[in-house]
Amino acid sequence: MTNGPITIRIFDLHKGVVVDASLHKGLTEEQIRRAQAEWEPIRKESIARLRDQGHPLEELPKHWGWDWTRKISRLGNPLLGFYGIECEGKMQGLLEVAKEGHLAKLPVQKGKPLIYVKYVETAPWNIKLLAPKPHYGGIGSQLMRIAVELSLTEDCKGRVGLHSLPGDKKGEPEWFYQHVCYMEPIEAERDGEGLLYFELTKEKADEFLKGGKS
Amino acid sequence: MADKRTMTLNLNDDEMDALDALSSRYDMSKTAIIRKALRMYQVIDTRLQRGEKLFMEDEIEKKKSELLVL
Repeated sequence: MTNGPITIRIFDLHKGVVVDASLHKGLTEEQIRRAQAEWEPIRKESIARLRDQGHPLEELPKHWGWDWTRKISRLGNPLLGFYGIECEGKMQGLLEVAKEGHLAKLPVQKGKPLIYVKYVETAPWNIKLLAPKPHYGGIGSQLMRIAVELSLTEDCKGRVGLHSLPGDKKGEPEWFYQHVCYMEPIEAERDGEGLLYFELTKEKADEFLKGGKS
Repeated sequence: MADKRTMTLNLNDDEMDALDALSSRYDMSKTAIIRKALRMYQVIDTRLQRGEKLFMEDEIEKKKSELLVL
């Protein structure tokens, strides 16, 4: 199910101003296909360019092979939520969350329900490593804010969990979740691919929403 | 989120106790518990209507049993 978009504000780094964007709560097949079609060639070109420039493979974004169209069959599943931020006719970021089936693992909130972020991705032209001059800033933070606000709406008290792509240097995924989103890593909860698990407590969720670095 | 509508729910003592216990255990309001239950029921029902079956599995005891759902 999709509802009408909500206006949010994002930062246009090219113009140096805050601009209106549309937050879509619920996505259509067409929106996902269009985003994938627009993102995929840019991801591939950017990755190829970086490799030609000598960037080690392990330093490159790990989600460049994601195919959002593979999630289309899950649209409409009431246990999941799909969200997108659109600006100037293009998706700037996408988010898929699970509303059920995941319980908190941190001792302070162990066993309590949370919102689990399955996939979150920013458009390639907004990623500094892929685009020397990113277009929009703070998209990742906005997407995480959506997850936290959903957690509050679902009475999960702001609790959010996710497995992060690797990279703990400044600006990389693990660093972002720990230092920008105030999530705690739990080494013992790595998944089958070795991805590190992060969790947000209700106290830190409140801090994130109030301070919300971007 | 879509607009919400209000309804009155009549529960007997046992049902209310069960709802209280779930609400307490999961640190969620009774409304949130019922919404979750409804959502799960919706998904299970859809799959049962497609002819699938719902099983519970005890990994330790190595037991698997079908859960019958209305």
